Amino acid sequence: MFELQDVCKVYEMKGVETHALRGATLEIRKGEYVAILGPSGSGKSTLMHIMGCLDTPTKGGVFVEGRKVSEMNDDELARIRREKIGFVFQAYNLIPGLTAIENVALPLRLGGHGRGESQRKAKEVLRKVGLGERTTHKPNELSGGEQQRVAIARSLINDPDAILADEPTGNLDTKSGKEIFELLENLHKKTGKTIIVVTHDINLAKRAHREIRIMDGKIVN
Amino acid sequence: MMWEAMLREFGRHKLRTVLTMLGVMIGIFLVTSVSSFSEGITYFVNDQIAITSGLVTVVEKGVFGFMIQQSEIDEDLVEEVESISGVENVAAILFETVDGVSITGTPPGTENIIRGVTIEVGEGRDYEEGQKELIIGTGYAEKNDYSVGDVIKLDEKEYEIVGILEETGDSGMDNSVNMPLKDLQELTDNEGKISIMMIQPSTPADADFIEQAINDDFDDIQAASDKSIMNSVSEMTSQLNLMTFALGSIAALISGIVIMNVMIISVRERRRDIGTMKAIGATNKQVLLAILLEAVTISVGGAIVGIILSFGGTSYINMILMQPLALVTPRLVIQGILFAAFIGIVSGILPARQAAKLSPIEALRYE
Repeated sequence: MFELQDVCKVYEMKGVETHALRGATLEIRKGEYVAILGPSGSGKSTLMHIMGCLDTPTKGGVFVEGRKVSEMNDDELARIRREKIGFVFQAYNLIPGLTAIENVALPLRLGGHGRGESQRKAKEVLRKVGLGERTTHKPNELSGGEQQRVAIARSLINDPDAILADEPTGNLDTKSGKEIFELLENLHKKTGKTIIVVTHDINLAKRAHREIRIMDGKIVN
Repeated sequence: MMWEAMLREFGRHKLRTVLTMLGVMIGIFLVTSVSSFSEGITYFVNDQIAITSGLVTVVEKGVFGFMIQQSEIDEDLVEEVESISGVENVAAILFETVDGVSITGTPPGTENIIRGVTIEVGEGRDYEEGQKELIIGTGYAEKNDYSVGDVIKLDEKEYEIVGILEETGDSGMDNSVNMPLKDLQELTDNEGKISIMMIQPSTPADADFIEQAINDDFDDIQAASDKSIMNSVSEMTSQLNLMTFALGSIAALISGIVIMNVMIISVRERRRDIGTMKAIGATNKQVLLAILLEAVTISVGGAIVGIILSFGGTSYINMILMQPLALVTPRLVIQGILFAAFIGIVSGILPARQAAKLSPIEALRYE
């Protein structure tokens, strides 16, 4: 599903170079449940962003389903993000002006689907993540755990092959965090989707089928 | 679609949106109001010229050419004017409003000068003096469902409709109510007074001479041939158009800058949302169009309010002038909206491109 070959990423901020990734090579197969583990600043989020076509590497090759990412144009990348990958972010990243159901339906709407059809599907997915009753609430009317469930529903709406979650429990208390992990695990069990979770919580990472440890921009295991 | 989500943002910043619209609103209001004069005057004059073709119009000195209903002349002057060489015929006309009905009074025999040679009584017959008789236009007849033989009450007195004019296509003529001059003077206590004179020259070439003679020799009246009316009107409308152009340019510039400024701030504030949308699959083009549409919506929204205000403004001015001089035509409405859309697009391009170029990662960092 994802393949990284000797990927480097250098950020330049005010003339100072930061090496976020220094030659990362890894492969994640379809249907795997993988945790990317590492201390903060180790480059794990950068790794995920590059896998998810949100960011481009400074050097090295990235392949999604065998296609080289650097050879795709902006529209193709947008389509991959919309249809092949579902993102879950630490800060949920819901659109504040939209209700839960509208947030979940947004990827479908961006793909040109009609309003009625999109909302019907969104409602169904919201029910699956246990929020069938709170579809018309705005993000600021929901708890952190609920917002993250909405975000997971949004990541699922296009039935993508992979879910990429960047510290999905980072802003949540222990109980809600556990619930979110259970939700992702169930999702993996039931649908066999590829699930990649970035976290610095060792206990949560242990639940995944494979751990990828990263330190100072290098994969260490 | 994405723009739905973007447009929701307006609701979150109501005051800012309204204030941003204000610039376009005031601009379009001013431009439309000023243009409405130029439109109205052109319509009015074209209407008039169609009827007065080849005639010389005489009004009270100092009366502005399009406010002839305010003009008041001594009827005795008619004889003096008739004695000017080259004058073939003179129609003395009185305009008065009785019980809300605008009535034109002309002495029997001279109506053809103002009606034009081809307009005749289509149905019924011409009026006779002292018989309390009226002739009305087809439009007025249709609007009020009148036919020949019907009686209209004016100031408690009964007047009979004895004729209906042929349809002319000229709104002034088709909606006219006419009676003999003497009868109208008597009805409105205006004995010896008329509003204007219309002079028919012996030959078209005499018009200029008659105009000159009246303007030189009379203290209380002034004359204008339709040619000189046309000239002064086109001079005036071209000045109005120049003013519109100046106003429009300034309004466009200022409101464009305001919209651009607000949109740049708004895009910056929403970096995170825009980045999120790109992360979940919005294309650059969708982001670009959404922001452009937002700018156009603000601009056109302001324009629509401005146009509505200009309808109010012009009717107020017309009420004060007691003349339908300012006219907001469909052309002006469309022009205003297109102009605003143009302002929106131009001022939205920069912020929209900034938004489209945002990397999803850059935007997600804003947390």
